[in-house]
Amino acid sequence: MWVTAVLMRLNTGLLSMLRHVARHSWLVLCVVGMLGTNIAVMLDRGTPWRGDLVWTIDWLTIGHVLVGPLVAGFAAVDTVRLSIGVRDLPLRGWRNADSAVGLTYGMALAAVHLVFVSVIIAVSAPPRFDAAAALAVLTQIAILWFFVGLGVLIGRFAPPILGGIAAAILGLVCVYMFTDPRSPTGLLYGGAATVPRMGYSYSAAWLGIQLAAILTMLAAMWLVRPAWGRSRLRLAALSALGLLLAAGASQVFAAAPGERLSASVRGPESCGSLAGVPWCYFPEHERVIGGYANHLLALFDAAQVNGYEGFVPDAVEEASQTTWPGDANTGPFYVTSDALAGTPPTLWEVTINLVQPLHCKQLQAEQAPADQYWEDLYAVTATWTNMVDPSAAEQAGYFGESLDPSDAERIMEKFRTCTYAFE
Amino acid sequence: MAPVLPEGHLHLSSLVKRFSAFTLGPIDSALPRGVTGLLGENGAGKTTLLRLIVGTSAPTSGHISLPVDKQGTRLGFLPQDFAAPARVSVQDYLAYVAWCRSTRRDKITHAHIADALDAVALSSVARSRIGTLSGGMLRRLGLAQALLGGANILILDEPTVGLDPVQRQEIRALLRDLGERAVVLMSTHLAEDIVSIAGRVMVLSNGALLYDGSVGELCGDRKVSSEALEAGFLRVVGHGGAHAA
Repeated sequence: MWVTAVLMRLNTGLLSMLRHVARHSWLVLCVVGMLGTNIAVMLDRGTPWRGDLVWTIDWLTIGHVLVGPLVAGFAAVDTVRLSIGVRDLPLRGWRNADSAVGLTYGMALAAVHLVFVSVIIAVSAPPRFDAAAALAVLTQIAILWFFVGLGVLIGRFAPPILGGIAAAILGLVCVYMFTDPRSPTGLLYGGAATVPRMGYSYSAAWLGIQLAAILTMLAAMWLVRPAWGRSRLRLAALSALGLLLAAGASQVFAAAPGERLSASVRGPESCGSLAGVPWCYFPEHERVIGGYANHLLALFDAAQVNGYEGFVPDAVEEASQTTWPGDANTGPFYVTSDALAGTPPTLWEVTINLVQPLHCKQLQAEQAPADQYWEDLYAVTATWTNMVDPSAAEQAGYFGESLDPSDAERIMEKFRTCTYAFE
Repeated sequence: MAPVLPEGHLHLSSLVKRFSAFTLGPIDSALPRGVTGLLGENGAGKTTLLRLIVGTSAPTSGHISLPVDKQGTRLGFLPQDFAAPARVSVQDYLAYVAWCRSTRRDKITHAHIADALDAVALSSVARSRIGTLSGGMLRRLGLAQALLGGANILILDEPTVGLDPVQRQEIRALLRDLGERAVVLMSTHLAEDIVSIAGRVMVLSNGALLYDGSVGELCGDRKVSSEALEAGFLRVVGHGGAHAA
């Protein structure tokens, strides 16, 4: 009985309205478009994001460049369509076609995004979680709400078809203008990451400011409406307040400290030993690390057997976007996007990363090293790869001779001590 | 000292709406509970006056005070050009309007919707799409949405247009009942509507309120009838070149 009573009560309540809008709007098409885009984005490029929490969350929003304008367009059309039959009625308070469309679209898109984020995280299975990641997901949802708000705003002023087209175009303009991560106007930047995020973590402060700014923008868009009816002055004042709020929010956001992602201090934590050489890598890359381990083992064995013991570093550490081994005796290796997408790493790329002296400040300067540096680097690399696979250097485009152990050791010593004439 | 206004009335005080080529008012009136007819030629300002009262148009000057009872003000409005989404069912549309018109204090429930449908004899088509309704049924649907939530003031712009004689009689009976507990202001071109249900009538001509009083007085010495009302209307309009004081 009480279930019936609750259902009767809800029938003219929120659920009834949500059902009405869902049944009589373009929301289904919008959700289908979002599902299709998300699935396509999710499966694109061999799902390289798996394991990397930040990249996993940021990858999905690549599709927002399409989803945002789509949402804005449909929301505008539905705001006009669903106002038929209620537009001329004396409605008090906030309940009207605007809020019906805004609430229904907002809840549906948030639900779809949350489901996809849950699925993609389940597939990704990252070994670590970060509380700020939840804030990043919330911000992404707020960005979707921004496009809903934009559509509803346009729908208040324009006829359906024209309004839909205008809102979609304006949505595209917003994507173009407000998604630059390095710009103070990058309010709608939700990640859209095509490169690994290893070495970065979310900045909770920046995301908090972004979320607050977007929600303020939403409130501002809610306030701006045609000034007609008995409360013309009040509506005009509210619209002015809305514009002020929007200006204030954009100013606060422009002054937000730092960036969305900050360099992580976390180094590679999964450690082991390769032919007696200690090595560490990020547990996020466990699924592809075998390919690197095989190459490293082969390289170390070959160097020992062929009298090039000086090539073998004291330790090996995986480098990230922001961290790499700081000392001369630790060799770095990078797990690339291609490797994460399923392409095995090449012997050449593993070797050259081990050899090149990234710890030297000279290489971090703006000026590029001299040609001789590259020749010597390739020669040392080819010398080492030739011991394992004579075809590896040629496949990488190097056709020079191998160096003898003393010449190779001389160059390696200069690399280690940063005494090489880089310029 | 401000005049003391009787409770439960709709008060119009020095109400003026100016357009570039047309002025409505000034209008002063206090409409009590019951049905008041609003008569006037085309373009007299009837719809403008109703929209001012409803609040979908802002007055140039003057003041409108809506009747208040224990539950506050509950305004129902039937626009002249009432339209509803064709693909939506009658029941779904009313549920949507119910959500839009509900407030935290006054929730319009499923029972209210059923009552409104019963009142306008549309219960049998509750699940039909609005696009399949006849013109008369659509008009009654408009009336049903106005009735939702037990309005204590009903503003109806030509509620009987498009209805057949039987439906007109039913709607008149309904409005007569509603007039016993609400202020009902109804614009119409049909003298018969007013004679059969209204106790009071307002006559507008070219934006001016020329008559505001009982139906009987407008009919003059003759017995109250459609013909007598039309004759009274023509007499008032014919002599009413200037705005009423």
